[in-house]
Amino acid sequence: MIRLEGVGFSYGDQSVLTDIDFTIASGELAGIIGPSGSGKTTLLRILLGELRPTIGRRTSDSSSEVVVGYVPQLDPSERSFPLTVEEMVLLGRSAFSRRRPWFDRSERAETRAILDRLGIGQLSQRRLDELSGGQFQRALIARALLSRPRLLLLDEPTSGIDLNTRQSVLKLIDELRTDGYAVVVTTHDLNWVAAHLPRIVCLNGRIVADGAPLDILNEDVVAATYGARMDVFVHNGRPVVVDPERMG
Amino acid sequence: MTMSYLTEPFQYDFFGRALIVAILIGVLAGALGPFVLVRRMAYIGQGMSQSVLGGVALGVTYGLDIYVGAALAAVLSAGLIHFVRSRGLSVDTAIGIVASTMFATGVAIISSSRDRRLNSTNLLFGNILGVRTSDIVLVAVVFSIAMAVLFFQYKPLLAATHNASVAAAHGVRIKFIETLFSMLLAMVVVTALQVLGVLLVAATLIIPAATSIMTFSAFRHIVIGSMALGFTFSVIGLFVSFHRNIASGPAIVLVGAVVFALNLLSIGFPRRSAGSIR
Repeated sequence: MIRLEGVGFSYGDQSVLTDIDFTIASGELAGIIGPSGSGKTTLLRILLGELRPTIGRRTSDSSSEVVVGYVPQLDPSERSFPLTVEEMVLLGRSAFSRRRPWFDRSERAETRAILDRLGIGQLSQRRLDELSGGQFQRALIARALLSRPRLLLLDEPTSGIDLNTRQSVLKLIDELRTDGYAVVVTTHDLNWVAAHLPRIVCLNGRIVADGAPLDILNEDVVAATYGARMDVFVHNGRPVVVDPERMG
Repeated sequence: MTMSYLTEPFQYDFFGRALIVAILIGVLAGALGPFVLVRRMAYIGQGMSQSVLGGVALGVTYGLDIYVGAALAAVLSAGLIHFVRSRGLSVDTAIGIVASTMFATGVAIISSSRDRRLNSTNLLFGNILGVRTSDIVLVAVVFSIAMAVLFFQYKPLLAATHNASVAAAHGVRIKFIETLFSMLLAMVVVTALQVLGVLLVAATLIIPAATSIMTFSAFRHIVIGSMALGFTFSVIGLFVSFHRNIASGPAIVLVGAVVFALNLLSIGFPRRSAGSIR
């Protein structure tokens, strides 16, 4: 669907990404992990088309540009904005909707269907600042879905929400994948992606490893990605990364 | 209140002209205000309006129309603010320096000029007596253009205001929208000069919007409410201005401030104060 070939990116003299080869296909779900400053968000912005690679190229498999739905990190300023849930979600279609201040009945019906599917249909007329973290995360996903994307990019969808909500967000992401969306998730949460996602990309300015968690996660890969030695165990068929110093 | 309180001002031609201009400016500033507020651009509106004074003074001195001088000053101030920011200073510092300098330029020229058009009180606080038919035409044209732009670009503008990165990802042309919004803001500041004066233009962008935000939940209702409040403040303010013999700008702003304060008190602890936005 989208392919990055030999991509590098620099902010001025400072190189952020080097020699990135990455492909995401329809129905694929991948997690990008790495420490702060590893280039996760830059990589996401290149996939989004917001940043142009300094070297290398970004291509898509169709003649027209792939529509990308973007779910940003939870931002308190976005949440305090005076909008209802329905209004915010409808903004996902703002560039393609008819040029007038109100939305069509069909667009509102589509919004209601998406909100119902995400389990927050009853909250459509609530203000954003009345939502819980998990509900707001779902509203952001609903906005991205209304843009009718083929690829969904989620930036740190598990940060700032509780464990229970994380599980429901994960379930939702998995459902979207089975519906045919390609999904790319960035996160700091190594164990979360290792336990739940079929593919992870370990990033630290370059791609350290790319594949199924069980196949690629080991002490050397974790050390090359995070710059620290950590133990990697397999528990119930899933890799678990543990900081030995914290275990005492 | 007797009926004559409402009818007496219309015995004077200038009042009808001033009322039309004040209503158009009030409604337009009311429509833009919520966007200005949630973008935290209130200070930019204030800075731009202060900068206009220097342009007006220079324009009049060199034989230009007041509005031409004001428009050039608005564009120049936006460019200078951008230039100072590009050198690493924060936006509020850039606005403070540019606006103060251009305002000081205006005051310096006015204080040494004998041109009757450069009346400092009128320029700073507005003068309903000075509204000419040509002012009505200009404000009506600006009002029509700005409202048409807001009507047709409401959705992309709201999307870009809420989250520019997401809006860009979903197909909104951010640079185009941002340029458009800056132009709208400059147009309001320049055309509001006659009735409100350079010091009080920003208040008409802020007070109706802040009052409406405290009252309504949906943004579209906030915009409509802010336009209605802008209309109401302008009408009541002009009558107060006439009967109390005070400058039109302060009268309109004080009416708005009283309604804002009453609204604040009536809802006790606001569910969303204007200062908490973004």
